[in-house]
Amino acid sequence: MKKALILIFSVVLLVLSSPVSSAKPVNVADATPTDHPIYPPV
Amino acid sequence: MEFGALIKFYRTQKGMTQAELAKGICSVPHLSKIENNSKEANEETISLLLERLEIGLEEMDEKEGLIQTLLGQLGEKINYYLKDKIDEIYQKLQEMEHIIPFSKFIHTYELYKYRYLLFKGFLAEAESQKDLLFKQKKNFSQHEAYLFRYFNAVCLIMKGQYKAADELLEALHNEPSNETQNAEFFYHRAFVKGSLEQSGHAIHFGKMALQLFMNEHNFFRILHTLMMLGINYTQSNIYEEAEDCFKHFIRNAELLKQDKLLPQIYHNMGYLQNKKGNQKEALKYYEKSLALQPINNPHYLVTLYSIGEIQYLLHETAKAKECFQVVSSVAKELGVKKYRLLADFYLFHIVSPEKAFKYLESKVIPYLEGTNEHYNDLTSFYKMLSGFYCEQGIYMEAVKYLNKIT
Repeated sequence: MKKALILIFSVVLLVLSSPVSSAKPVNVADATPTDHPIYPPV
Repeated sequence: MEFGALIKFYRTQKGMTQAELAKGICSVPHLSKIENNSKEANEETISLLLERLEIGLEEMDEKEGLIQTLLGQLGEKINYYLKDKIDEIYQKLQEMEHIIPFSKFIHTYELYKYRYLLFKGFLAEAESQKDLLFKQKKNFSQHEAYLFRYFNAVCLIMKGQYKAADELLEALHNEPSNETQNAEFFYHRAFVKGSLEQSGHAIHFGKMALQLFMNEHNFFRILHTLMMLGINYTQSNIYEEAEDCFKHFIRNAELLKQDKLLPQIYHNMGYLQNKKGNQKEALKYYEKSLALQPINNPHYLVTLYSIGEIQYLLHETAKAKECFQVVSSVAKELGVKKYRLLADFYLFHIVSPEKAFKYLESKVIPYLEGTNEHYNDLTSFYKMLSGFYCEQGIYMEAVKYLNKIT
Protein backbone atom coordinates (compact mmCIF):
# COMPACT_ATOMS: atom_id res chain seq x y z
CA MET A 1 0.00 0.00 0.00
CA LYS A 2 2.79 2.37 1.06
CA LYS A 3 4.82 1.46 -2.04
CA ALA A 4 1.82 2.08 -4.31
CA LEU A 5 1.29 5.51 -2.76
CA ILE A 6 4.95 6.41 -3.26
CA LEU A 7 4.69 5.26 -6.87
CA ILE A 8 1.57 7.36 -7.53
CA PHE A 9 3.15 10.34 -5.83
CA SER A 10 6.32 9.97 -7.96
CA VAL A 11 4.24 9.79 -11.16
CA VAL A 12 2.27 12.90 -10.17
CA LEU A 13 5.50 14.76 -9.41
CA LEU A 14 7.00 13.75 -12.72
CA VAL A 15 3.88 14.81 -14.65
CA LEU A 16 3.86 18.17 -12.88
CA SER A 17 7.54 18.79 -13.38
CA SER A 18 7.54 18.08 -17.11
CA PRO A 19 4.83 19.95 -18.99
CA VAL A 20 4.37 18.52 -22.48
CA SER A 21 4.24 21.97 -24.03
CA SER A 22 7.85 22.73 -23.04
CA ALA A 23 9.16 19.27 -23.84
CA LYS A 24 12.51 19.28 -25.62
CA PRO A 25 14.43 16.41 -27.13
CA VAL A 26 16.43 14.41 -24.58
CA ASN A 27 19.99 15.57 -24.65
CA VAL A 28 22.36 12.83 -23.58
CA ALA A 29 24.92 15.47 -22.80
CA ASP A 30 22.65 16.96 -20.13
CA ALA A 31 23.19 13.88 -18.00
CA THR A 32 26.08 13.71 -15.55
CA PRO A 33 29.28 12.91 -17.44
CA THR A 34 30.27 9.32 -16.84
CA ASP A 35 33.41 8.62 -14.83
CA HIS A 36 36.34 7.15 -16.71
CA PRO A 37 39.60 7.68 -14.86
CA ILE A 38 42.63 5.56 -15.67
CA TYR A 39 43.94 3.73 -12.64
CA PRO A 40 47.64 3.17 -11.89
CA PRO A 41 49.12 -0.34 -12.19
CA VAL A 42 47.92 -3.06 -9.80
CA MET B 1 66.52 -29.75 2.23
CA GLU B 2 64.51 -32.93 1.49
CA PHE B 3 67.55 -35.14 0.89
CA GLY B 4 65.57 -38.37 0.38
CA ALA B 5 63.67 -37.01 -2.59
CA LEU B 6 66.82 -35.30 -3.88
CA ILE B 7 68.84 -38.54 -3.81
CA LYS B 8 66.05 -40.46 -5.52
CA PHE B 9 65.77 -37.77 -8.20
CA TYR B 10 69.49 -37.74 -9.06
CA ARG B 11 69.86 -41.56 -8.80
CA THR B 12 66.99 -42.01 -11.31
CA GLN B 13 68.41 -39.29 -13.53
CA LYS B 14 71.78 -41.02 -13.60
CA GLY B 15 70.11 -44.38 -14.32
CA MET B 16 71.52 -46.06 -11.18
CA THR B 17 69.79 -48.82 -9.22
CA GLN B 18 69.40 -48.60 -5.44
CA ALA B 19 71.90 -51.47 -5.08
CA GLU B 20 74.51 -49.63 -7.14
CA LEU B 21 74.15 -46.47 -5.13
CA ALA B 22 73.98 -48.14 -1.72
CA LYS B 23 76.94 -50.49 -2.33
CA GLY B 24 79.45 -50.07 0.50
CA ILE B 25 77.51 -47.20 2.08
CA CYS B 26 74.31 -48.67 3.48
CA SER B 27 71.82 -51.45 2.85
CA VAL B 28 69.29 -51.25 0.01
CA PRO B 29 66.26 -51.26 2.40
CA HIS B 30 67.94 -48.43 4.34
CA LEU B 31 68.43 -46.39 1.16
CA SER B 32 64.85 -47.10 0.20
CA LYS B 33 63.67 -45.70 3.55
CA ILE B 34 65.90 -42.62 3.14
CA GLU B 35 64.56 -41.98 -0.34
CA ASN B 36 60.98 -42.19 0.91
CA ASN B 37 61.84 -39.91 3.82
CA SER B 38 60.59 -42.55 6.24
CA LYS B 39 63.98 -42.70 7.94
CA GLU B 40 66.24 -39.92 9.17
CA ALA B 41 69.71 -40.78 7.89
CA ASN B 42 72.84 -39.49 9.56
CA GLU B 43 74.78 -36.75 7.86
CA GLU B 44 77.70 -39.04 6.98
CA THR B 45 75.51 -41.50 5.05
CA ILE B 46 73.81 -38.64 3.20
CA SER B 47 77.17 -37.11 2.42
CA LEU B 48 78.53 -40.40 0.99
CA LEU B 49 75.41 -40.99 -1.11
CA LEU B 50 75.54 -37.44 -2.50
CA GLU B 51 79.27 -37.81 -3.18
CA ARG B 52 78.58 -40.93 -5.26
CA LEU B 53 75.97 -38.96 -7.15
CA GLU B 54 78.58 -36.19 -7.60
CA ILE B 55 76.58 -33.66 -5.57
CA GLY B 56 78.23 -31.78 -2.71
CA LEU B 57 76.32 -31.51 0.60
CA GLU B 58 77.66 -28.04 1.28
CA GLU B 59 76.79 -26.99 -2.25
CA MET B 60 73.20 -28.08 -1.69
CA ASP B 61 72.98 -26.09 1.53
CA GLU B 62 74.38 -23.06 -0.27
CA LYS B 63 71.81 -23.47 -3.04
CA GLU B 64 68.99 -23.63 -0.51
CA GLY B 65 70.27 -20.40 1.00
CA LEU B 66 70.41 -18.84 -2.46
CA ILE B 67 66.82 -19.89 -3.19
CA GLN B 68 65.74 -18.16 0.01
CA THR B 69 67.66 -14.99 -0.88
CA LEU B 70 66.29 -14.90 -4.43
CA LEU B 71 62.73 -15.37 -3.22
CA GLY B 72 63.20 -12.50 -0.77
CA GLN B 73 64.57 -10.32 -3.57
CA LEU B 74 61.71 -11.23 -5.90
CA GLY B 75 59.16 -10.19 -3.27
CA GLU B 76 61.04 -6.97 -2.63
CA LYS B 77 61.34 -6.02 -6.31
CA ILE B 78 57.62 -6.62 -6.81
CA ASN B 79 56.87 -4.47 -3.77
CA TYR B 80 59.13 -1.70 -5.10
CA TYR B 81 57.73 -2.14 -8.61
CA LEU B 82 61.21 -2.51 -10.12
CA LYS B 83 60.06 -4.01 -13.39
CA ASP B 84 63.49 -4.36 -15.00
CA LYS B 85 65.09 -6.24 -12.09
CA ILE B 86 62.26 -8.70 -11.60
CA ASP B 87 62.84 -10.76 -14.74
CA GLU B 88 66.51 -11.12 -13.91
CA ILE B 89 65.76 -12.64 -10.48
CA TYR B 90 62.93 -14.79 -11.76
CA GLN B 91 65.28 -16.13 -14.42
CA LYS B 92 67.83 -17.11 -11.76
CA LEU B 93 65.14 -18.91 -9.78
CA GLN B 94 63.98 -20.76 -12.86
CA GLU B 95 67.52 -21.98 -13.42
CA MET B 96 67.27 -23.64 -9.98
CA GLU B 97 63.80 -25.06 -10.57
CA HIS B 98 65.10 -28.66 -10.59
CA ILE B 99 66.38 -28.29 -7.01
CA ILE B 100 63.59 -26.15 -5.55
CA PRO B 101 61.15 -29.10 -5.12
CA PHE B 102 63.65 -30.63 -2.66
CA SER B 103 64.03 -27.47 -0.62
CA LYS B 104 61.78 -26.22 2.14
CA PHE B 105 60.84 -23.26 -0.09
CA ILE B 106 58.85 -25.26 -2.58
CA HIS B 107 55.50 -23.64 -1.64
CA THR B 108 56.98 -20.15 -1.25
CA TYR B 109 58.54 -20.48 -4.69
CA GLU B 110 55.28 -21.59 -6.30
CA LEU B 111 53.44 -18.75 -4.52
CA TYR B 112 55.89 -16.11 -5.73
CA LYS B 113 55.74 -17.58 -9.21
CA TYR B 114 51.97 -16.91 -9.04
CA ARG B 115 52.63 -13.31 -7.90
CA TYR B 116 55.23 -12.86 -10.64
CA LEU B 117 52.78 -14.01 -13.34
CA LEU B 118 50.18 -11.58 -12.00
CA PHE B 119 52.73 -8.79 -11.93
CA LYS B 120 53.59 -9.45 -15.56
CA GLY B 121 49.89 -9.52 -16.48
CA PHE B 122 50.02 -13.16 -17.68
CA LEU B 123 46.53 -13.91 -16.44
CA ALA B 124 45.99 -17.30 -18.09
CA GLU B 125 49.27 -18.67 -16.70
CA ALA B 126 48.51 -17.14 -13.32
CA GLU B 127 45.16 -18.94 -13.27
CA SER B 128 46.85 -22.29 -13.97
CA GLN B 129 49.37 -21.58 -11.22
CA LYS B 130 46.51 -20.75 -8.87
CA ASP B 131 44.88 -24.13 -9.62
CA LEU B 132 48.17 -25.90 -8.93
CA LEU B 133 48.55 -24.06 -5.62
CA PHE B 134 44.93 -24.72 -4.65
CA LYS B 135 45.66 -28.46 -4.57
CA GLN B 136 48.55 -27.83 -2.18
CA LYS B 137 46.83 -25.38 0.14
CA LYS B 138 46.35 -27.92 2.95
CA ASN B 139 50.13 -28.18 3.22
CA PHE B 140 50.67 -24.43 3.54
CA SER B 141 52.08 -22.76 6.63
CA GLN B 142 50.07 -19.86 8.09
CA HIS B 143 52.18 -17.31 6.21
CA GLU B 144 51.92 -19.26 2.95
CA ALA B 145 48.14 -19.51 3.36
CA TYR B 146 48.01 -15.73 3.84
CA LEU B 147 50.11 -15.14 0.72
CA PHE B 148 47.88 -17.43 -1.33
CA ARG B 149 44.72 -15.57 -0.34
CA TYR B 150 46.33 -12.17 -0.79
CA PHE B 151 47.61 -13.05 -4.26
CA ASN B 152 44.13 -14.37 -5.09
CA ALA B 153 42.79 -10.92 -4.21
CA VAL B 154 45.38 -9.36 -6.56
CA CYS B 155 44.23 -11.81 -9.25
CA LEU B 156 40.60 -10.75 -8.74
CA ILE B 157 41.61 -7.07 -9.05
CA MET B 158 43.37 -7.81 -12.33
CA LYS B 159 40.24 -9.53 -13.62
CA GLY B 160 38.14 -6.51 -12.62
CA GLN B 161 36.20 -8.48 -9.97
CA TYR B 162 36.47 -5.73 -7.38
CA LYS B 163 33.61 -6.78 -5.12
CA ALA B 164 35.06 -10.25 -4.58
CA ALA B 165 38.55 -8.76 -4.13
CA ASP B 166 37.20 -6.31 -1.56
CA GLU B 167 35.56 -9.10 0.46
CA LEU B 168 38.76 -11.14 0.45
CA LEU B 169 40.96 -8.19 1.48
CA GLU B 170 38.47 -7.25 4.19
CA ALA B 171 38.55 -10.83 5.53
CA LEU B 172 42.37 -10.81 5.57
CA HIS B 173 42.40 -7.42 7.28
CA ASN B 174 40.11 -8.72 10.04
CA GLU B 175 42.35 -11.65 10.86
CA PRO B 176 44.46 -11.29 14.01
CA SER B 177 47.86 -11.64 12.30
CA ASN B 178 49.96 -8.57 11.46
CA GLU B 179 50.47 -9.66 7.86
CA THR B 180 48.26 -6.92 6.42
CA GLN B 181 50.08 -3.98 8.05
CA ASN B 182 52.07 -3.16 4.96
CA ALA B 183 51.97 -0.52 2.26
CA GLU B 184 51.17 -2.83 -0.65
CA PHE B 185 48.16 -4.29 1.14
CA PHE B 186 46.75 -0.80 1.84
CA TYR B 187 47.50 0.21 -1.75
CA HIS B 188 45.45 -2.71 -3.05
CA ARG B 189 42.65 -1.94 -0.61
CA ALA B 190 42.61 1.65 -1.86
CA PHE B 191 42.66 0.39 -5.46
CA VAL B 192 39.61 -1.81 -4.89
CA LYS B 193 37.66 0.81 -2.92
CA GLY B 194 38.33 3.39 -5.63
CA SER B 195 37.21 1.00 -8.36
CA LEU B 196 34.02 0.34 -6.41
CA GLU B 197 33.51 4.10 -6.30
CA GLN B 198 33.86 4.20 -2.52
CA SER B 199 36.20 7.17 -2.69
CA GLY B 200 36.16 8.01 1.03
CA HIS B 201 37.49 4.56 1.89
CA ALA B 202 39.92 4.70 -1.01
CA ILE B 203 41.36 7.99 0.26
CA HIS B 204 41.67 6.55 3.78
CA PHE B 205 43.62 3.48 2.63
CA GLY B 206 45.52 5.45 0.00
CA LYS B 207 46.85 7.87 2.62
CA MET B 208 47.98 4.95 4.80
CA ALA B 209 49.72 3.36 1.82
CA LEU B 210 51.36 6.67 0.87
CA GLN B 211 52.80 7.18 4.34
CA LEU B 212 54.21 3.64 4.46
CA PHE B 213 55.61 3.84 0.92
CA MET B 214 57.28 7.14 1.87
CA ASN B 215 58.81 5.52 4.96
CA GLU B 216 60.38 2.85 2.78
CA HIS B 217 61.36 5.31 0.00
CA ASN B 218 59.30 3.31 -2.46
CA PHE B 219 59.28 5.95 -5.18
CA PHE B 220 57.35 4.20 -7.96
CA ARG B 221 54.60 3.15 -5.62
CA ILE B 222 54.48 6.69 -4.20
CA LEU B 223 53.72 7.86 -7.76
CA HIS B 224 51.03 5.22 -8.22
CA THR B 225 49.43 6.10 -4.89
CA LEU B 226 49.45 9.82 -5.73
CA MET B 227 47.63 9.04 -8.97
CA MET B 228 45.08 6.93 -7.12
CA LEU B 229 44.52 9.60 -4.47
CA GLY B 230 44.10 12.23 -7.20
CA ILE B 231 41.39 10.14 -8.88
CA ASN B 232 39.56 9.56 -5.61
CA TYR B 233 39.76 13.20 -4.52
CA THR B 234 38.29 14.06 -7.94
CA GLN B 235 35.50 11.55 -7.44
CA SER B 236 34.79 13.08 -4.03
CA ASN B 237 34.77 16.61 -5.49
CA ILE B 238 37.81 17.60 -3.40
CA TYR B 239 39.41 19.31 -6.33
CA GLU B 240 42.27 21.22 -4.70
CA GLU B 241 43.67 18.07 -3.11
CA ALA B 242 43.29 16.25 -6.43
CA GLU B 243 45.21 18.98 -8.24
CA ASP B 244 47.97 18.85 -5.59
CA CYS B 245 48.33 15.08 -6.04
CA PHE B 246 48.58 15.40 -9.82
CA LYS B 247 51.11 18.24 -9.58
CA HIS B 248 53.31 16.23 -7.19
CA PHE B 249 52.95 13.31 -9.53
CA ILE B 250 54.10 15.18 -12.64
CA ARG B 251 57.09 16.72 -10.83
CA ASN B 252 58.24 13.37 -9.45
CA ALA B 253 57.48 11.40 -12.61
CA GLU B 254 59.79 13.75 -14.52
CA LEU B 255 62.51 13.32 -11.88
CA LEU B 256 62.18 9.54 -12.01
CA LYS B 257 61.99 9.55 -15.80
CA GLN B 258 58.63 7.77 -15.67
CA ASP B 259 57.41 9.25 -18.95
CA LYS B 260 55.25 6.20 -19.57
CA LEU B 261 52.93 7.31 -16.79
CA LEU B 262 52.43 10.82 -18.19
CA PRO B 263 49.58 9.92 -20.62
CA GLN B 264 47.69 8.40 -17.69
CA ILE B 265 48.14 11.45 -15.50
CA TYR B 266 47.11 13.84 -18.30
CA HIS B 267 44.01 11.73 -18.81
CA ASN B 268 43.18 11.93 -15.11
CA MET B 269 43.78 15.69 -15.11
CA GLY B 270 41.30 15.85 -17.98
CA TYR B 271 38.92 13.81 -15.88
CA LEU B 272 39.35 16.30 -13.02
CA GLN B 273 38.63 19.30 -15.28
CA ASN B 274 35.62 17.52 -16.75
CA LYS B 275 34.28 16.86 -13.26
CA LYS B 276 34.77 20.54 -12.44
CA GLY B 277 32.72 21.43 -15.52
CA ASN B 278 35.68 22.87 -17.48
CA GLN B 279 35.06 20.84 -20.61
CA LYS B 280 37.39 22.78 -22.89
CA GLU B 281 40.24 22.49 -20.39
CA ALA B 282 39.46 18.78 -20.02
CA LEU B 283 39.61 18.35 -23.77
CA LYS B 284 43.11 19.84 -23.84
CA TYR B 285 44.38 17.36 -21.28
CA TYR B 286 42.67 14.40 -22.94
CA GLU B 287 44.18 15.35 -26.29
CA LYS B 288 47.61 15.77 -24.71
CA SER B 289 47.23 12.29 -23.23
CA LEU B 290 45.99 10.76 -26.48
CA ALA B 291 48.92 12.14 -28.45
CA LEU B 292 51.33 10.19 -26.21
CA GLN B 293 49.51 6.84 -26.42
CA PRO B 294 49.79 3.96 -28.89
CA ILE B 295 46.49 3.21 -30.62
CA ASN B 296 46.10 -0.46 -29.74
CA ASN B 297 45.88 0.09 -26.04
CA PRO B 298 42.95 -0.09 -23.58
CA HIS B 299 43.91 3.31 -22.14
CA TYR B 300 43.72 4.85 -25.62
CA LEU B 301 40.12 3.68 -25.77
CA VAL B 302 39.20 5.33 -22.47
CA THR B 303 40.80 8.64 -23.44
CA LEU B 304 39.26 8.71 -26.91
CA TYR B 305 35.86 7.79 -25.48
CA SER B 306 36.15 10.64 -22.95
CA ILE B 307 36.98 13.04 -25.80
CA GLY B 308 33.95 11.76 -27.73
CA GLU B 309 31.69 12.42 -24.74
CA ILE B 310 32.93 15.99 -24.35
CA GLN B 311 32.66 16.72 -28.08
CA TYR B 312 29.07 15.47 -27.91
CA LEU B 313 28.45 17.66 -24.89
CA LEU B 314 29.84 20.64 -26.82
CA HIS B 315 27.49 19.75 -29.76
CA GLU B 316 30.47 18.93 -32.00
CA THR B 317 28.55 15.96 -33.39
CA ALA B 318 30.83 15.22 -36.35
CA LYS B 319 33.95 15.13 -34.16
CA ALA B 320 32.16 13.04 -31.55
CA LYS B 321 31.01 10.59 -34.21
CA GLU B 322 34.56 10.19 -35.48
CA CYS B 323 35.79 9.41 -31.94
CA PHE B 324 33.03 6.89 -31.20
CA GLN B 325 33.57 5.12 -34.52
CA VAL B 326 37.25 4.58 -33.72
CA VAL B 327 36.44 3.55 -30.12
CA SER B 328 33.88 1.04 -31.34
CA SER B 329 36.24 -0.60 -33.83
CA VAL B 330 39.33 -0.61 -31.56
CA ALA B 331 37.25 -1.94 -28.64
CA LYS B 332 36.01 -4.74 -30.89
CA GLU B 333 39.58 -5.52 -31.91
CA LEU B 334 40.83 -5.54 -28.31
CA GLY B 335 37.76 -7.37 -26.97
CA VAL B 336 36.81 -4.55 -24.57
CA LYS B 337 33.05 -4.99 -24.51
CA LYS B 338 32.22 -2.05 -22.25
CA TYR B 339 33.61 0.65 -24.53
CA ARG B 340 32.22 -0.99 -27.67
CA LEU B 341 28.73 -0.88 -26.15
CA LEU B 342 29.10 2.68 -24.87
CA ALA B 343 30.47 4.00 -28.16
CA ASP B 344 27.73 2.23 -30.14
CA PHE B 345 25.13 3.78 -27.86
CA TYR B 346 26.34 7.28 -28.79
CA LEU B 347 26.59 6.35 -32.46
CA PHE B 348 22.93 5.26 -32.37
CA HIS B 349 22.03 8.41 -30.47
CA ILE B 350 23.48 10.63 -33.17
CA VAL B 351 21.12 9.02 -35.70
CA SER B 352 18.05 8.30 -33.58
CA PRO B 353 17.63 8.83 -29.81
CA GLU B 354 14.74 6.30 -29.73
CA LYS B 355 16.91 3.62 -31.24
CA ALA B 356 19.77 4.53 -28.88
CA PHE B 357 17.62 4.19 -25.79
CA LYS B 358 16.30 0.83 -26.94
CA TYR B 359 19.95 -0.22 -27.36
CA LEU B 360 20.76 1.18 -23.94
CA GLU B 361 17.98 -0.89 -22.35
CA SER B 362 18.60 -4.10 -24.25
CA LYS B 363 22.40 -4.20 -24.37
CA VAL B 364 24.28 -1.59 -22.35
CA ILE B 365 22.37 -1.66 -19.06
CA PRO B 366 22.12 -5.48 -18.82
CA TYR B 367 25.89 -5.66 -19.39
CA LEU B 368 26.73 -3.00 -16.81
CA GLU B 369 24.27 -4.46 -14.28
CA GLY B 370 25.75 -7.91 -14.89
CA THR B 371 29.25 -6.81 -13.98
CA ASN B 372 28.12 -5.31 -10.63
CA GLU B 373 30.91 -2.74 -10.84
CA HIS B 374 29.93 0.34 -12.85
CA TYR B 375 27.59 2.18 -10.49
CA ASN B 376 28.39 5.69 -11.74
CA ASP B 377 27.88 4.72 -15.38
CA LEU B 378 24.62 3.02 -14.48
CA THR B 379 23.35 6.00 -12.49
CA SER B 380 23.88 8.40 -15.37
CA PHE B 381 22.23 6.00 -17.83
CA TYR B 382 19.25 5.48 -15.49
CA LYS B 383 18.88 9.27 -15.35
CA MET B 384 19.01 9.48 -19.14
CA LEU B 385 16.40 6.75 -19.55
CA SER B 386 14.08 8.20 -16.98
CA GLY B 387 14.37 11.60 -18.71
CA PHE B 388 13.68 9.97 -22.06
CA TYR B 389 10.54 8.17 -20.84
CA CYS B 390 9.40 11.31 -19.10
CA GLU B 391 9.58 13.21 -22.39
CA GLN B 392 7.64 10.42 -24.03
CA GLY B 393 4.97 10.59 -21.32
CA ILE B 394 5.66 6.99 -20.27
CA TYR B 395 5.89 7.82 -16.59
CA MET B 396 5.80 4.30 -15.18
CA GLU B 397 9.01 3.48 -17.05
CA ALA B 398 10.54 6.80 -15.98
CA VAL B 399 9.79 5.98 -12.34
CA LYS B 400 11.19 2.47 -12.77
CA TYR B 401 14.59 3.90 -13.69
CA LEU B 402 14.47 6.63 -11.06
CA ASN B 403 13.87 3.90 -8.45
CA LYS B 404 17.00 2.12 -9.60
CA ILE B 405 19.16 5.09 -8.63
CA THR B 406 20.30 4.40 -5.11
